[in-house]
Amino acid sequence: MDAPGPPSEDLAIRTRRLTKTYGDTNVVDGLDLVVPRNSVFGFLGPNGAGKTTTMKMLLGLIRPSSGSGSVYGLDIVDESPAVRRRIGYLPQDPKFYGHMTARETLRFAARFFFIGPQDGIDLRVSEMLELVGLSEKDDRPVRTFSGGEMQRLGIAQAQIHKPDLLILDEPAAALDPLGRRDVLAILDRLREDSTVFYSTHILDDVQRVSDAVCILREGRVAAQGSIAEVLAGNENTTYEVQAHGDLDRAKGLLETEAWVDAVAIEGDHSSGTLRIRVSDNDQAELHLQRRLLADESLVISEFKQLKPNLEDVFVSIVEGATDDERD
Amino acid sequence: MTSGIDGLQPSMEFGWRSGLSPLMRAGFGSWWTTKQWWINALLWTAVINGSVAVAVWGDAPDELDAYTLYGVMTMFGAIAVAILMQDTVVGEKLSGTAAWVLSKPASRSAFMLSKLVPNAVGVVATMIAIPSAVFMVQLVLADVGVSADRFVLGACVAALNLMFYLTLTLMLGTLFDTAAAVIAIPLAFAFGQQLLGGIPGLIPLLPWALVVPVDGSDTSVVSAVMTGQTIATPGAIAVAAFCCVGFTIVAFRAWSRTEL
Repeated sequence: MDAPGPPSEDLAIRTRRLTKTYGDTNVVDGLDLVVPRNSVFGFLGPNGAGKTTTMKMLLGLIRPSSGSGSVYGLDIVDESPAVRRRIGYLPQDPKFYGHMTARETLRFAARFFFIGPQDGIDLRVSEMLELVGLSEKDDRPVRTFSGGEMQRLGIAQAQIHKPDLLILDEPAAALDPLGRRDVLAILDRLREDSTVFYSTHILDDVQRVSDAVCILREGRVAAQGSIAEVLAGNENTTYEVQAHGDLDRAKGLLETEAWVDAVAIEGDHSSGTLRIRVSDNDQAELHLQRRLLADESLVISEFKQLKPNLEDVFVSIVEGATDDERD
Repeated sequence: MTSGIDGLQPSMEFGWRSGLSPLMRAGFGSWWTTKQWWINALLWTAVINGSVAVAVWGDAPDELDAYTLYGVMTMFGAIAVAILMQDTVVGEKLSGTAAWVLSKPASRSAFMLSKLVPNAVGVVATMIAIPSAVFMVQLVLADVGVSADRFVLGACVAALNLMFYLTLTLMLGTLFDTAAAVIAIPLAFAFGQQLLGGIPGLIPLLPWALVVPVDGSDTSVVSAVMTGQTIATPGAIAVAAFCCVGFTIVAFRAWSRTEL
């Protein structure tokens, strides 16, 4: 059955049951991906979840075992060169020809899309060097570049033809905090013209710049939608209670409740914080405070429901998978 | 905001030609805009001509010895081709530059052609054409009668031997994911051919016979062609040519299915 979502003409990427199998292992398993046009779309998942494989299938570098996919309505297998005309790609660990300078690398990339005029191409190359802050290093051979400089050059070459879709595999992975900040600023500037589909492990960044996300788990979509939708869909809510008293006893009592998922004590066992993760927040709202107040040995100084962030959702999904495997 | 693509003319290369121009430009550039070409040209001119100079200018000058020595010395060039080419495809597969290039609108065929043609031109020019031209000058200066046609034809046979190793290494690069396998097989073959003399009728068919006299003959194919003598092992030409075509076809087919 097709995944629900907006009509195809509004989509940059659409996959249906996209699968890649190596031996007996489904690296990507029936993936239904829906990426709206002009969105900044975060593609998340633990290592080995199938993110890079999915990106490479979109680019025609890997052939799908089954299922289909399209980029702006173009089939990723049958119309791969046409698809690639509309995509700019930054690999996870970008590598370019070491003997070329940064300027030559961008000229080389530009020549796949444009035949001339030469001064126009050179102007575009200069613009891109400026965009990523490499104008001063344009004549240095690429082999002398640091990881961060390579990443910046990677963004420049991906954007050289002003693509409709940018696919960026871990664009900030090799960068220090300042470099990461700069990359996020660049992404923010690029969103005016392009759809940005990127993978990352830095979930704070995703929540800051993305419009929508997909969380991949073992090659399947575990959650997908706008940030608000994904956060709202989080089944686990956490409460934080600061208290004095017999925290161990309180923990033991709470753990007997069916709607309590896990209880942890932070700090001293007679004075500290109880972190209570609940699986049914309706029940928790009704009963949690009463249960705690019923224990007369406990003095509660603070009680709050933690607002879930993307990291909580991500961890909950990934840990959920691990728990399922253990069961 | 950037907008510098408005006046640019889009590339009109489609199908198998997609990306051919920039890839070819880069392929030739890796030879002719770097020091690679003159280092190889100098090295092989010195190696080949230094050796044949003994036969041309020595105490007992011998024309046939000079041509035979020329053929034998080009065999070292063939080994160098395998060493030079070992990383051409495997290196790009492992480093990720192949995946990067093929994420552009470039066909697999264009990519492979850009490895085959510029490298073939590069090695033939620097390891055969330039050293051979200097060899010819030596012969002329030593008053050895040289037929330009036969000389060029003989140099082409030596080039065929180089192409055998070039296409073999290229093919192995598409089939294996380690440089060790890609270099080991051509080198083992290059050095192992002389050990195959025990198999009746085999060695005259091997590329070895193109440049080295075998089976008690005084001439290799190269020296026979250059001196106008009867070619003792003509089968080697056909086998080498057939293998070059076969290796190239396998390389293109394997590359079209390679996952990056």
